[in-house]
Amino acid sequence: MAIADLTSLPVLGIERVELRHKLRVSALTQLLTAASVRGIVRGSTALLESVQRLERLLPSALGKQVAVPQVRSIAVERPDVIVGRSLRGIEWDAPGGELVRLVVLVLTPAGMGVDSHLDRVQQYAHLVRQQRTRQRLIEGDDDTARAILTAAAEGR
Amino acid sequence: MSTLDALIELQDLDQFAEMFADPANVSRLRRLGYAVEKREGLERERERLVGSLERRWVVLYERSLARYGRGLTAVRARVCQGCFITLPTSAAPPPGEAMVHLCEGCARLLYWA
Repeated sequence: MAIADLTSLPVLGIERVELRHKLRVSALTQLLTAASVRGIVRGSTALLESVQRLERLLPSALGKQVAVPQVRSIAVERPDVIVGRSLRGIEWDAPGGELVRLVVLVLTPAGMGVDSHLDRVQQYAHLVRQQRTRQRLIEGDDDTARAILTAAAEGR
Repeated sequence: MSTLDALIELQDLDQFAEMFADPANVSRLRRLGYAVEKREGLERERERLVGSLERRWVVLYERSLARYGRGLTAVRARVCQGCFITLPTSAAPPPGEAMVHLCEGCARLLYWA
């Protein structure tokens, strides 16, 4: 009885978010709201401003319809990622005007070092650079996406 | 923008600048596909944020940054994460709210939520 109940519980932090809007700021707002609901961040107003500022200074569209925004902040409670997909595509100021369909927001607490933060950014940038993984995250069902993100979170 | 939000944003920007201060990090980001060329606006963004804060907060922030390498320090379970002194219950923010506080042990500027 207990096993069946426990396995049906959602695993926090690895659920893919369906991005409904076409603008970058709306997508980031939705991702940070999801992070706030999951207890990954404390409040999201200042963090949204920070992520947008870092986007201006370091645009996060990496090509192939993927963006990996990142922030290291005191408002982040624990290291985690929030992944969102957009079936319509988001205007992300990407090279060539390409729309972004997969967003991986990397959140790192201020207490973690720069190297650890960059390791995490690199891990997820490499993950979504693999064509098969990227396609499965964009087009796969929720279970497929969850399996990929769980494996990534566990370093498999 | 509230004082607390501005201080958090300032700290986030300073942490970002710290990352960019090392050329190895810059080249690492470039290899990942980030457009690192736009970072010239960093100083301007910082000036704008500092300008939005009252002078007393800027002084306290800069002093913490110079002394401890970080302008803002978190409080967890009423404990300053800089000097690990337990802060008085009476100084805690109301449940669900956050505030800026000055640590009476080490004079760090604290983010207490």
